Amino acid sequence: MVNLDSPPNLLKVWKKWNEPIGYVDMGPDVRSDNDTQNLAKECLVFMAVGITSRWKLPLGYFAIDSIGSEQQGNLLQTCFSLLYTIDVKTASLTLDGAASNISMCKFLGAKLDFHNEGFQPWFPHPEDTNERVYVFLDPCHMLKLVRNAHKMNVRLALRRSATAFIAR
Amino acid sequence: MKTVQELFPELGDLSGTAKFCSFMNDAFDILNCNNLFSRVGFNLPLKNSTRAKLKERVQEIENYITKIETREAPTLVRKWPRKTGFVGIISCLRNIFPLFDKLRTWGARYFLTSKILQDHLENFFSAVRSRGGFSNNPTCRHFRRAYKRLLTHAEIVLSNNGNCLMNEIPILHCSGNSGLKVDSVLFEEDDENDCEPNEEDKDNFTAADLLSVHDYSRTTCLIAEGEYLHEVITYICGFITRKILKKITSAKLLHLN
Repeated sequence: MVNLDSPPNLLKVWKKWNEPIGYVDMGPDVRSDNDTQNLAKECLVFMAVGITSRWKLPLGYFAIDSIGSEQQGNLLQTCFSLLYTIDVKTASLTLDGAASNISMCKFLGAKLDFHNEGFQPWFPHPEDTNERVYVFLDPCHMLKLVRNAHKMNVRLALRRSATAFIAR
Repeated sequence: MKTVQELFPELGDLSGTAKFCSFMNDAFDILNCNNLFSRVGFNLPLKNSTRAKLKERVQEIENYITKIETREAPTLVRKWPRKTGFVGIISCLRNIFPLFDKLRTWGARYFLTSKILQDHLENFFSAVRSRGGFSNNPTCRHFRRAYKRLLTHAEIVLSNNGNCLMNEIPILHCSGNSGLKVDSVLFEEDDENDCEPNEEDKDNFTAADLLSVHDYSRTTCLIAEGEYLHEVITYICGFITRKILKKITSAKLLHLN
């Protein structure tokens, strides 16, 4: 039982680095025209975390320049498939709130548009469509987003001598 | 908040903000439980006994968030450009219950919500950055080395300036240490096939060798040959297999045996 973390994070790589090792590398299985042409800027790391047991394990990493949501989704699906073949049950997926992540969730089959009626924060497991994989947008990042939204409004509120948020 | 309001009456009515803060506080408490025995507010582990209480509070929070409106955007928050944070919290809050139910069918008795945080990955990044001196901008090479190093020797030491607090979850690790040495010792056949190290070896034997040579390698094991060794190894293997079988329920892996 596993939770899969996947932010296209966060390791900025020096652009100046000018060796073969600093280029975009999607591994041997993924064909990418960008391979070995662009310098890598970020590192995409997948990590599995045990939910009912106490362990975590980085599953792999990709040196990327930038990555499309679809491509990222495909990599994730590969992750799910590989975990499935060794009988690791993947129950949830954690991402931060970047726009590309959200469109990736859409690509995988989740519906995170809250103003629509069909709000569905999970998607079927790529290997076993009866199982659901629940999408969690990392609460810490969400809290930060909420704080930023709130901060802006507090300033407004101070200027206008009014409450920041009004609940109906 | 009430004190602030008394101090600065010109700010107007602040009860809305106070209410907002208390809701957000509870929402994050629910999503950040790391302790099975926690009893603080809503910072409770998800168990059969707490499910109803948490569910009720989650429903309140969700109702509240969907009705928020702001001065800046007098529409409801869910249509607001900055809605991601709120939608994210709602989706997390909604998802923990079906996830818990699913885990329960798999035999879990409780669910600690901190498992779904991204902190685990952030800690890992912090560990990567700390390898070879702290560097906020590791190069590809740095990252690759640190990654492998952490996979083989996974003890995380964390910067105090990192994004989040240390947790004590170890990275699953296997020892990549000393594979070469063992191989070279094991497959180096002596001419007489005896157990004493030959003269050359004795001369070159250093403290480092002593450390790297294991008790199961031929050169140091006095009763290396024959039935005894075979029996011992069989016994140990059997023991290990029995222990592993208790852990692994996978039909596929059993089939491999």
